[in-house]
Amino acid sequence: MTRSAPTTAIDNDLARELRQKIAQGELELPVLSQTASQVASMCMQGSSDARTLANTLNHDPALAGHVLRVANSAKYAPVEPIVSLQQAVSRMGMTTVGQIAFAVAVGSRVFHAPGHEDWVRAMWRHAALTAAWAREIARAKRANVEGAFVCGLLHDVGEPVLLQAALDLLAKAKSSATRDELEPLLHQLHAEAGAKLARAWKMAPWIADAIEQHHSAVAGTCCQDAAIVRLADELALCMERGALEAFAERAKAELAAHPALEQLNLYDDEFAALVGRAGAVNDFAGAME
Amino acid sequence: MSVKELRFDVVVIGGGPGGQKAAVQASKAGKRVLLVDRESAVGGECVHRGTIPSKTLRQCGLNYMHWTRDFVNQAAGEQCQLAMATLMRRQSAVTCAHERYMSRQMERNAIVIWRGHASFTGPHSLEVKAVDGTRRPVNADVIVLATGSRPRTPPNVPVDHENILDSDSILSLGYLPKSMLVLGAGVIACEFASVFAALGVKVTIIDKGDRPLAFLDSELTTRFVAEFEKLGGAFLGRRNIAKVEFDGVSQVELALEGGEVLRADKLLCALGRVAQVSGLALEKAGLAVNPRGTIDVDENCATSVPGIYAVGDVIGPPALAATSMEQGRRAVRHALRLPPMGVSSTTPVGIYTIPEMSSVGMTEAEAVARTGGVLVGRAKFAELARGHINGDEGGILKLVCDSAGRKVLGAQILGDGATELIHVAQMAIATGQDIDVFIDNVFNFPTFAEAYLVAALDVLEQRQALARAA
Repeated sequence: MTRSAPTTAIDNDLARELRQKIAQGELELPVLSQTASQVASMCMQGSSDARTLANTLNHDPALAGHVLRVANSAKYAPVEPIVSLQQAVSRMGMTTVGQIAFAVAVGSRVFHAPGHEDWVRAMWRHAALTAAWAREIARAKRANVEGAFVCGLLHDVGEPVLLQAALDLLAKAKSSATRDELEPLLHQLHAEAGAKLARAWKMAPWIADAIEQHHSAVAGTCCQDAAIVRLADELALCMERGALEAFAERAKAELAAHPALEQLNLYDDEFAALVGRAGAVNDFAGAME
Repeated sequence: MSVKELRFDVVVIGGGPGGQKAAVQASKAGKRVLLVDRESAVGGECVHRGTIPSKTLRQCGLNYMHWTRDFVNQAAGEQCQLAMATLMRRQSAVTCAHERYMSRQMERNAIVIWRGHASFTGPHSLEVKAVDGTRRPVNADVIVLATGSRPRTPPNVPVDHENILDSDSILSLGYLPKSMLVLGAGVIACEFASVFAALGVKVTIIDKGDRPLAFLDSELTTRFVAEFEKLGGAFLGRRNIAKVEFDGVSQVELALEGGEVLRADKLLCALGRVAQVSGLALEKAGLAVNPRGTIDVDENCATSVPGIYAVGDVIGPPALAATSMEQGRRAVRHALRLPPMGVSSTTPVGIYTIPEMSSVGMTEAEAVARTGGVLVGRAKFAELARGHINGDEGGILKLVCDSAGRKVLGAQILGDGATELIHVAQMAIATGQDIDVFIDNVFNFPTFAEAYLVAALDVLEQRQALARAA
């Protein structure tokens, strides 16, 4: 079973207000406090090395997003978009990236989702799994691996952003909503919200496009990045639906006819080889948790 | 439910240059032709990961280098930077245009195209598996294998297509790295190395040989290394790889035998290519690969099994797009009993490095070995008006003649337009011209073609000196 965005627009006050926030670019990207404080601590003590910094930042897609946004800002004026933390470290040096991360950690608002901790944790695990799958698919297709990883990591970044915005709006209205009530709305709007954020962060256009299109069925070679994210998203969801031991069979049964395979020109032998990477993908996501 | 087996006169497996020309040749002979390709669009590696994208990247590198040289005051600290995304957009536009042209050509010739993976079920029967897993049987009197090649990856080079790349994945780079190590010193290695150097990347070529492109004239390769060094590159010969690994953060580390360790942002492994024969089930057709992993063919590209032909990279060197096309046409003409094509003995070699290089006929060393003595005329681009205009003063044209200084035996060129210029020498050799033809005819001014006149005059001077001495 695969997931696609609800086709019927949800129409209530919350939905309307969220759409307005997306349209006006008023959504804020939250930062997970634990990683933020770790980065802040590392930079203040001056004891970290590049490897530790990159690993720490990779644990937090929101913070990674902030770092990339700042790295792409006019202040640093890169001649071409910084699309990965590795590129940021390579281009700007560990110290600068550390400083950016520190500034972000101090300056950004700490993420809160009272009553939704499990949901946020699940969002994060899904992002990590999708990033790892996107990386594997990109390798198989000789596409850009670093960029695919970032696309996968941020593909659903619109969801936590929208969740935070929805909770703020509900609190202001002295109202509340359950996860079951919020989830369809977030899912409907997340691709657009995520793409808006990516564009606002001045990330490479193809990254924002991939985030925006990862649920749509656009044919043609020009949207290979979106197709990679789309398949990675489905593989991650499939992985989340059951035990790892039975994943290969489950993936074959559920995804063998998925249109992304045709878009990516992935034959059954290549798909089987890809699915065989599940252990490594799971290990990566586990480490990120 | 069984699927009915379809019959074609000719089935071509692989839509690269050799496959396309084979299919078009068969179609023009009135045959019903099927072309099977794994990719979603015809063109093969040449269009999607090889010649077309890499040469487009090269043209961008060349333009960038010229722009920087001519219009940027580097002494005053001015910079001209470029984004990889811009280069990739250009590359994508060129690739799409070429794809469209080829699709129209296939359509015009009524060639049926199936996207899928073909494998033999018998000497004249195949099964084509589509990307969705459906299978279609097909048979034909003539089958042409044009499945191309893929990069060779030695076991001690862990290509991850992210930091350690091969010649397929190098074109997926999302940004220009600061530095790059290139393993190998063949055509692909030198082409990418010089292009990335021209784009401002600090490139180091590492190879076990003592010079790059060992099959070329040594004077050309010496000059190539000098030009490469001017771009900031370095060539490290007589080195053997001990270990390659990514450090986990930002650098690839290359350990060489002897203890030397080199580091760079990215590493390109360009240590040759191997024939793409996996999944073809050649044994079911009665075919096998030779110890080099390629398919043996005769002068008509016929394999040991009647009706089965092989062309292009799958049969081994020279594995050039131009020769693959010629092989594709030749194979089909033989298979269909059409009059044979004239066999050219003067196929040129074009190396799209910066600066580019080209060679036709015999090199100086080959001519000396075969005939005992030669006269060689040289024209340095620094002595040509066009060389000054283009800022290409490192270029050279060598004209190799017999010991009497008459017959043209070969030519080697390094510099702007080398791969175009070489055809003048090719025609002279093919038609048995003396070097005097370059003296007796007027060339446009200012052009690089004048180099032929200058080189011919050099030979004439040597010829006259010999006559005086006699």
